[in-house]
Amino acid sequence: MKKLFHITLNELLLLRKDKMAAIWMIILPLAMTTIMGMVFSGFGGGSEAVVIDLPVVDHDGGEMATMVLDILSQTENLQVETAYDEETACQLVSDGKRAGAVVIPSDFSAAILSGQPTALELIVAPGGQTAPLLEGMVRGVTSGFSNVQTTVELAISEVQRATGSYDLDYEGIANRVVATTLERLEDPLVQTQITTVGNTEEEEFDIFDQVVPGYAVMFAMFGVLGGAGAILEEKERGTFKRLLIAPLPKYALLGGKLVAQFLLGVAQIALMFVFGALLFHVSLGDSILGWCSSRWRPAGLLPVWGCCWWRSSNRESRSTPSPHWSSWAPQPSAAPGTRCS
Amino acid sequence: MMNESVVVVQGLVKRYGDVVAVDDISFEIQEREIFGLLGPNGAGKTTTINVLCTYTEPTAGQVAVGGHSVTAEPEAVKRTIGVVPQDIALYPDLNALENLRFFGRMYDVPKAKLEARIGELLELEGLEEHARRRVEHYSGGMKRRLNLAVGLLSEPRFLMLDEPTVGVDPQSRNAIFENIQALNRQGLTILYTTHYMEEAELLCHRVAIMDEGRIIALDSPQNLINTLGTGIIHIGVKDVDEEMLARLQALPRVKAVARRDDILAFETVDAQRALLDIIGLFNETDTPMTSLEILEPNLESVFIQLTGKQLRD
Repeated sequence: MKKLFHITLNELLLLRKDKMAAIWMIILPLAMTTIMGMVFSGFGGGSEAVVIDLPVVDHDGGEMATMVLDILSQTENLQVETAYDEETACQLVSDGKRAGAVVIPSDFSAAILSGQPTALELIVAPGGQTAPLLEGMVRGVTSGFSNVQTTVELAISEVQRATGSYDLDYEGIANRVVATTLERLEDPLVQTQITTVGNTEEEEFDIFDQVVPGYAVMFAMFGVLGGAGAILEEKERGTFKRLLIAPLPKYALLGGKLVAQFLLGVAQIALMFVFGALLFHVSLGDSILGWCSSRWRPAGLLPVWGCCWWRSSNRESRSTPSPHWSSWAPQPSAAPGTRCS
Repeated sequence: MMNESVVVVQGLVKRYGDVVAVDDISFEIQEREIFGLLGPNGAGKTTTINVLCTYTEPTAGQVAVGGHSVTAEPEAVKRTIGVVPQDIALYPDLNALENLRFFGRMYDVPKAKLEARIGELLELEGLEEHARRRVEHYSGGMKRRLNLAVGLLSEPRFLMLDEPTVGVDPQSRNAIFENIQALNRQGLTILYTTHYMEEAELLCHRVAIMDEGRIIALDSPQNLINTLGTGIIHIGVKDVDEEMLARLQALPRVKAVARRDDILAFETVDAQRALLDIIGLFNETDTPMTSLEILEPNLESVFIQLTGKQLRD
């Protein structure tokens, strides 16, 4: 055990002496964090959600148009701008400054209330990434209004059929039907009830729960790779033979190397998290201990893998093909959960 | 002086697949002896050392070091021996002190004793002033000396040196020789492999000459030279018939004639007088000579006489 400790110490000392390796071991996690941070949160994005500016040109000004504006304004991730005329809005879209613009035609309210077909116009630039998203949102609004319109049509035709009269206050009926329908839409009679079964403690889904074990396994494998690399380097230097003929148990030799690689990996990950937390506001979860435990479990497989490797490598091969690079094992120990919240 | 056998090797065979690296060799090394294993590259010297230091298991045969079998009690053997590998086996990024400390701990040298031992060895190898310099900045000779120091850390009873002078400047070489002789005077038993015959002549009490995995001669250097290395004459010829060979063989001072390609190798009692007889016979039969050489009486000549080839190809 004492020898294992000394081998670990020696391994760390060797790393300290190899300045290039040491620098890389620091730079690499930082670079990984930066890259992953950018991938997950957009350049310098921090934790802000994506907001789409949407110019809306209202030619109608009627009650239904106001309702469209209300609905769009309340939509998450949409920022409605009403200050532009149609020409400017078109220009903004074609210049790529806006993903799209909505035009409400002048007869929109009248058409809805009288059950006539009408359309909300969505102007988008071809190939825009957010265009399909906008399209979906606007379609949601129009289909809502279509439902309202169908209801109005049905209501009026039913009244006409039942009374046989065409002189009633159909506008008033339509307005009341629309108001009631819209109220119902906000608070539908048929609701969705969600029942969660199973462990209620973990009911809050966290992407971190998936990411951490994944990275932990990856990290464990890098540890083994690093250990294998370190032993290959020993072989190249000739010190491996010297250690093999010294009176020390083989587990100490292998274990010492793996422990060193493991410690380095943990240090790198810690560095990465600190960096990620400071720069990209990575959430470290509620319980750091829970996080740690999920991390240590797969790391426990290290000796098993190591032993497998040892058995295969110890068959007295005279050739020592050693990719020198892998030897100090820069350990791109993954970027665990640079998550934007 | 020589009483007990530190190393006993009986019928050692080591095969790597179809390649026979060591082919049934036997020898013993006595206490306080410097025993030389001599031979060209690929003769099986390093393989023999690898078996003796428990690095490689023998395919067949019995090998014991300090009374312990290398296969049954490798741990006991490891504690008896010190090894100086052929290639430098040091951490180039560390300095001499750090290298010695690390290997000292691997050899269970007690902490209190280790620092004193390191001091002694650095002094012995003349490396005190360079103790804190990175090994990668050392000269070839300094690395060799440090390599030797690491082998001595555990105060072994039996030291194996595998070609310790390869790539070493003459000054370091002399320093290494002096070290070895001094250590031997203090009671250390040493196995020394080399392909430099003059080193073996200078250092070794007894020498085993190896070629193609076999020991082809084993004796003290002087005995080997006396019995084989004096009076050797090589004469180049184009064609010689059996009758001529028989007549040459029959000359009074010629002990043996061997033909190897275009060279006749004569083993004679008195080279100078024998040469007169031989040349006389060549003249008489009108046989042309293409070359003529009298070999120096040394181990090199012994090796050439035994194997028909040069040591350093």
